[in-house]
This record gives sequence, structure tokens and C-alpha cells, in this order.
Amino acid sequence: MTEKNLNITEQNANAGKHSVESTTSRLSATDQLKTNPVEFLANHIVWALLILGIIIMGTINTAFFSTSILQNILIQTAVLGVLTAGIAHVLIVGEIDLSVTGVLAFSAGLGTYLMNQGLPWFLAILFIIAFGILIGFINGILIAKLKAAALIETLAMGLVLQGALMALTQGRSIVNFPAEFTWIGSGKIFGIPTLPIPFLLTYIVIYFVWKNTVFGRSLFATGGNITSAHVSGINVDRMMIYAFVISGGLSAFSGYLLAAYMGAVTMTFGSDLLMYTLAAAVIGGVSLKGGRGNISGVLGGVLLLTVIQVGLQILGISSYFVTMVGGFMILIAVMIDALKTKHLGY
Amino acid sequence: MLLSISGVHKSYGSKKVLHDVHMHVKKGEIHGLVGKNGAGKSTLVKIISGVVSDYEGDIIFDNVNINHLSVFERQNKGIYVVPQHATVIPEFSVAENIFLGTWPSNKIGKVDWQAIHAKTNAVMQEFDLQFDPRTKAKDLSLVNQRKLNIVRALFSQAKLIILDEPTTSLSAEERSSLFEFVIKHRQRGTSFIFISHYLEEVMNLCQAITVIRDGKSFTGYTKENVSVEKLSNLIVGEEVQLCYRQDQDRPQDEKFILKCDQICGPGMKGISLGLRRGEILGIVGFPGSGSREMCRALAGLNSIESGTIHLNGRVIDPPAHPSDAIWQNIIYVSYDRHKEGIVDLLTIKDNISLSILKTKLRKSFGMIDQGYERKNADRMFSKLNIKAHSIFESVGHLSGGNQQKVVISKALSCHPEILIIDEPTVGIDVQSREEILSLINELTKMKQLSVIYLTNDYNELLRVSDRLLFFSEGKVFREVMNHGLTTEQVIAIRDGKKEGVPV
Ligand SMILES: Nc1ncnc2c1ncn2[C@@H]1O[C@H](COP(=O)(O)OP(=O)(O)OP(=O)(O)O)[C@@H](O)[C@H]1O
Ligand SMILES: [Mg+2]
Repeated sequence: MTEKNLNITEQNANAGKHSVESTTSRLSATDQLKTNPVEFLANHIVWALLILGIIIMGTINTAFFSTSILQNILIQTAVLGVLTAGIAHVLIVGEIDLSVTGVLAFSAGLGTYLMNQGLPWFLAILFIIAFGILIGFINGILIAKLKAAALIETLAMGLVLQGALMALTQGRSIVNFPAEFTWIGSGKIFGIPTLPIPFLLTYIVIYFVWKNTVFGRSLFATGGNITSAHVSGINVDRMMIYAFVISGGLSAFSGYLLAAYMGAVTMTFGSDLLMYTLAAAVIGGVSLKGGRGNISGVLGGVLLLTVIQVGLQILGISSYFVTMVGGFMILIAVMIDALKTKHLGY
Repeated sequence: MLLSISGVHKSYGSKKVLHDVHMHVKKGEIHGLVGKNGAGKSTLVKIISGVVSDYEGDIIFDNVNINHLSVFERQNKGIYVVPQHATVIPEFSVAENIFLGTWPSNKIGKVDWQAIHAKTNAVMQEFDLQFDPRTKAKDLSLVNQRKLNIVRALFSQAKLIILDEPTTSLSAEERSSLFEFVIKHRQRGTSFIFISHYLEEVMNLCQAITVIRDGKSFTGYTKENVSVEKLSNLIVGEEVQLCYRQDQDRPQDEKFILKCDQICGPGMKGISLGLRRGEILGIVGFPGSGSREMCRALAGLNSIESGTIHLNGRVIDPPAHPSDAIWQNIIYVSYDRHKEGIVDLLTIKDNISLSILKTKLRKSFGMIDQGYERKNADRMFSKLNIKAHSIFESVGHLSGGNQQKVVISKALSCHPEILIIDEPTVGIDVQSREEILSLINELTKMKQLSVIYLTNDYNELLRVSDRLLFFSEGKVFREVMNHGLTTEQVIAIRDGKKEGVPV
């Protein structure tokens, strides 16, 4: 009813006003390059770095381009990719989740432990994911409702879970998984490894969710300006909780993928992934200040990080250096983020 | 000549903002700078202060070309900007704010508080300000915060102070007190560039006026050779019609759409009011009088402890969250667009959609109805005449006034039954202000929209409102029909004076 009314008044309000030239088509990439080259470069820097990385690795060692190594990259990307897709949600609402690797490790550990105690393999998978969701929910409630500081709360949660895995395994590894359980990690469909499939599916789903759904839009609004979002009628607390739930769920799912791939859950399972996942998200254009990011950038980020990781292995760089290199990656990522913020004026 | 700007050009990507701008500011002059929203006033300010450094043209200050100087170096030369939104540090005291960055300290680097407070007291006396140096800046009134900014500038030996829309959301008295302050310092030889959308005050205050339109400057206007009407035509490029509500547009014996009874809560001590269908209800009250608290409580932003609310004759629960209010078709437009209005990273379209995501835009499976979204955003974009490349531009890149239009578009997209607008024309240019007022007038005429209108701009309030409510100490103390009221009468009633007040 008000619809009709607005149309009538539109004529009135427009009377005697010059027409507006409105070029209402979304700016294409080339347009963006022309109108704002700095912004364009900042948003796509990850792809430039990726190509650069591949070229450098390839020239140093031509073995880099072999199918087996490229396949290996794709497989290794899968776990990091799913993990990063989860944490990206938390970064977009402007918070941080340092418990992701703890969730990954303990939910996989507990699930596989129960499976070895007789839980059917498919229930074990469901259990792993449900457990991650539960932890995410607890994080979300503590942070959104009780206003705990995310940095400390998730750090503590991560430690608790990492410690719980140690207590559970007592230093031994959990092994002997049924073939159905490990199929996703080592199986093949038409000669293609299965592991990248859930990873790519996750990204496709997230692409649509971020772009086309009420949920996705609310997520970005919450991260962009939480008070404005609240005043506009968005339930920002709930968005925050959802973000942590998704982060927890996807962390646990990536834990399942990793367990299936390795065929074992060790005491230090996945613990080196934290710095890579943060670096991948930030290099991929997800702002630590919230409200900014796109899933294709995150994809670029995880590919880049994996290329570097695999590259270092091929180049025979001692594993004693890997942590340092990972640290540098985060430094670079944070600097790119800061420069972007400075130059784009937000 | 203190400042000479010649041949300044500036573009953002392919968007030309300034195009051959010239402007000359004399010593001891208050120079008015006016133009539509998005004309490039703030951009010019940023060029003068050095925040934007990639421009063409020459800036001569004190007979020296300062093109190559940084912001900091220009500040040291005496150019100081008080930007569009206040920049005091809220948690710091007045003294700390004045001495920001130049805190006197002893040999081991310990800040010497005694010296600071003594000096601050001296500064306060010199500038005729009566507040305790120990007050936190956030506890100062808006006008005192702005004065504090100016004092800080003067204290750092500024020769030119640029005031970017310093009078927005100030009341008439606060404005004149600010003006007195500025005039006093002008007489001591400081120059000012004064940006405002209120042309009367520009005319009264400024010795020279420069207009920016379509990126070009038109300079050399003075009080003597231009009138307010002429000036507004120069700014807009065509005649501006002031909006006045006609008697036949006012609601006659309409039913109350909203009735509040004895509302109590923080800052509210038993507020009762009624809003008729199609009415524009003006609200007058000082900060802390309960007027803003009331508006925000109806929007679900402040809590209500007791009292009843009737909407369309039914009792409703007090909204606990803005989404409850929006669900009841009650929409609030905040006075603070940066904090509570826009999401600057999102596009114009996405901002306009924010409040209708869960209602009009929601399709099955939580998908967004992109077609409707696009249509709605396009319609608002042209109806409110938002100046931007397209609806896909980030709101953070828009000029202040255009951001405000986006916020209003967002509210109107809900097709509200009750619209609560709190300083809706803050920072909006002459033409857009009239467009928004006439839009609201039109919508209420159709009896589809009822408006609660809170503003310090009594002139604007009197042109459109049907009835005024006066707030004081958490209560409504007077109700007056607006039959040819004048701003003086409004001020007299508000201040509780008896003479010259209609009954
Ligand atoms: N960082 C930016 N990137 C792209 N465009 C910009 C940027 N900053 C400003 N603009 C554009 O420059 C134009 C001039 O903006 P500016 O803020 O100077 O206007 P203004 O005259 O101060 O308007 P208002 O009265 O609304 O404050 C606007 O069209 C705005 O969209
Ligand atoms: Mg401006």
C-alpha cells in the first residue's frame, strides 16, 4: 500500500529537478583499474603474489611443475582452505579466533578416539563436526553476550583443547581408522583425488552465501560498523555467534579432512596451521578490522601459502626455518593490510 | 594576502572533483566557502592542509609556495583545520586536549601537570572560556568541544583556521556564541575559512565568499554584492524553492497512531504524548531534557522501564531492540551518521538495503531479492538525488551530505508508518534540505507516514511541523500548535519565559 504512495510522491519530489546521470552498472574489473588503480591493486595483490611465487619456485626447480606436485599442492590446500574459510567469518565481523587449531585437533582426536572405541565411522564424522560447532557456540556466547575479549578467550579455549588432546592421547597417536573414514583423504574419483572436492564445494557455497544472502550481507554490515548495523535492525550479537559457530564447525571439518588424509591423529596434530591460516586470510584481503574481504581472495591466500610451504619443502629448506618463514608471512600480510587501510582512507 | 590558491585541479580516479579553483584569503578575514554536497569543499580543505597531496595548482601561504610541504610542516606554518566531525579525544581532559603532543615535561620526560593546568587556566582566561581544565572532553557540550578545537588551533599559533561545517547540530544560541568567539579572534588578526550550508550565517559572518559549483570556483562575493537568494541560486545553479507546509496538508481530526503514557526510563520521568496519523510533530528540548531519550527509546535504543505504548490502538511491548521497532514500522534516523548511520565499507545499494534485509528483500532460503533491491536502490538514488558515480560506490567515498541522504534512503525504504528523525538535515545543502523536507511533507500528506521531528534548527522545524512538544527534565511541559509561531517564541517557551508566548 505504501508502495503506491511512494510512487506518487516520487513525481512530486522530482518535479523541477534536473535528471541525474546514473550509470548504475557494477564497476567491472577494468573500470575499477581505471578509476582507482591503488584500490584495484590492493584488492588483487594476492593473485600477483601467487603468480610470482609459482614463477620463482618453477625457475629454481622445474620439478615444481610436475603433476604430482601440483596435485600435492591442491591436497595440502584443502585442509588449510577449509580452516581459513571458517576463520574468515570471524575476521569479517571484526573479531579473532585463535582456537581454530585447537578445535581442529581435539574434535578430530576425540572423534577418532570414540571411533576406535566402537562408534560407527559416519557417526564419528558427525560427532567431530558437531563438537566443533559446540565449541564455536561457546566462544560466540562468551564473546557476544558476556563481552569477553575474543583474543584472550579464544586463546584460552585453544590451549584448553590442545591440552585436552594431549591428555587424551597421552603422547601416543590415534591410528587404525576404517577405510570409509579415510576415503575422503586418500581416495580418487575418476583419477582425481577426492580431498579437494569438499574444499572447493565449501568455497562455492560461501561465495553464494556472502554474495546473495541476507546472512552474508548482515555479516559484512556487522563487521563494517557494528553500531550502524544494530541501529539498522540487524541482530549483531547473533551474527557474531554465527560467525564463531561457522568457524568452529569448519575448523572441526578440516580436522576430519586432515585425520582422513594422514590416517592418524598425533599429539601436535595441526598445531602449525594457526599462523598460516591467519596469514592466508589477511593476504587474501580479509581485513583484521572487519567488514572487508571476499572469498576468491581467501582462495588466493591459501593457494599462495601452500605454494610457499610446498616450495620450501621442494627446495630442501630445513624444517627448522619453516616457523620463521611462517612468521614473516604474517608480518607481510599485516603490513599489506595496514597499508591498504592507510591508502584507501578508511 | 595570507593564502592564495590558484588553478587547483583534483580528481579521484576518473572523477573530477575540483577544476581550476581560485581563492584568496586576506589576513584577519573570515572567508566563507559554500557549495552543494559533494561540490568539493572538504576536498579543497584537505588540499590546503596537505592531507591530499596529489593535486595540481599552487598554494601560496604567507608569500611562500607550500605545495611540497607535508601536513605537519603546514601546521607549523600556521594552517589548522577543525574537520567536519569533531576531533577532541573524549577520554582526555580539556588541558590534555589543548596540549596534545606538546605536553610540557621535565628533564626525565615526566609530564608536568601543574604547569599544564596553570597554563590551561591562563589560556582559558585569554579566550574567555569557563570550564575546568580537568573536565573530560566528552563531558563538554558540542559547542564547547568545537571551541576547544579552535583554542587548540590558536594555541599552536595558527594564522589560518579552517572550520569545516562547525555549526551543524548547534542550537541558535550556541551558534551565536561560537560566532562571537570567532569574530573576537578575527579582530586579533587570525584568518578563518568558514564552511557552512546555512547561508544566513555565512552572509553575516564572512567578509568574502567563494562558491564552488561543478568543481569551479566563483569568488569575490561579499555581503554587499550578493543576497541569500542569489547565493543559493549560485550554489545550486537554479532557483531553490523553500518548502512550507500548507494548512490543508495538516492532519485535521485524524486518529492517534501512536500514544505513549507515562513512559519512564533513563532520562525519562513520565513522558506522555500522542502522534496523529499524517502529523509532523516537532520536538524541542535541550540535551538531557528527555527528548532524544524518548526518540531513542521508541526505536529500541534506550530502555523503557514503565509506561504503555499504543500503536494503532493496540498496546505493544516496548521495543527491546531496533529490529522490534522496525518490525512495528517505527524507524529512527540517528543524529550521528558516522556512528549509527552508515557502514562506510559497503556500497550505497547495500547501505540502503540494510533495514529491509529481513523483510522486503528476503526470499526463500534467506536469499536476497536482487531485482527488488536494485530497483529500490535506484529509485532512492534518483529520488534523493544522491551525488555519486553509481549505486555501487562505497559510502565511505561520498561527501558528508550525500552520506546523510543514504541514511534517509535506508529509512524510507522500510516504508515506515512512524518516522523518527533526529537532526535529519545535518550537513545537507540548501537544495537537498528542501527536497528532503518536501518529501516528508508529501508522504505525511498522504496520511501514510507520521513523523516525530527532533532538531535544533527551529526555522526548519517551524516550516513543516504541525505541533510542537517542549521537553524539560524528562517530561513534556508544553504543547503548542504551530499556527504561525516564530523562532523567538519557540525559544521563549523553551526557556520558560511568560512574555510573548502564545497560549
Ligand atoms: N577518497 C575518495 N575517493 C573517491 N572519491 C572521493 C573521495 N573523497 C571524496 N570523494 C568525492 O569527491 C567529491 C567531493 O567531496 P567533498 O567531501 O569534498 O564534498 P563537500 O563539498 O565537502 O560536500 P559536503 O557538503 O557533503 O560535505 C564527492 O563527489 C566525493 O564522492
Ligand atoms: Mg564536506
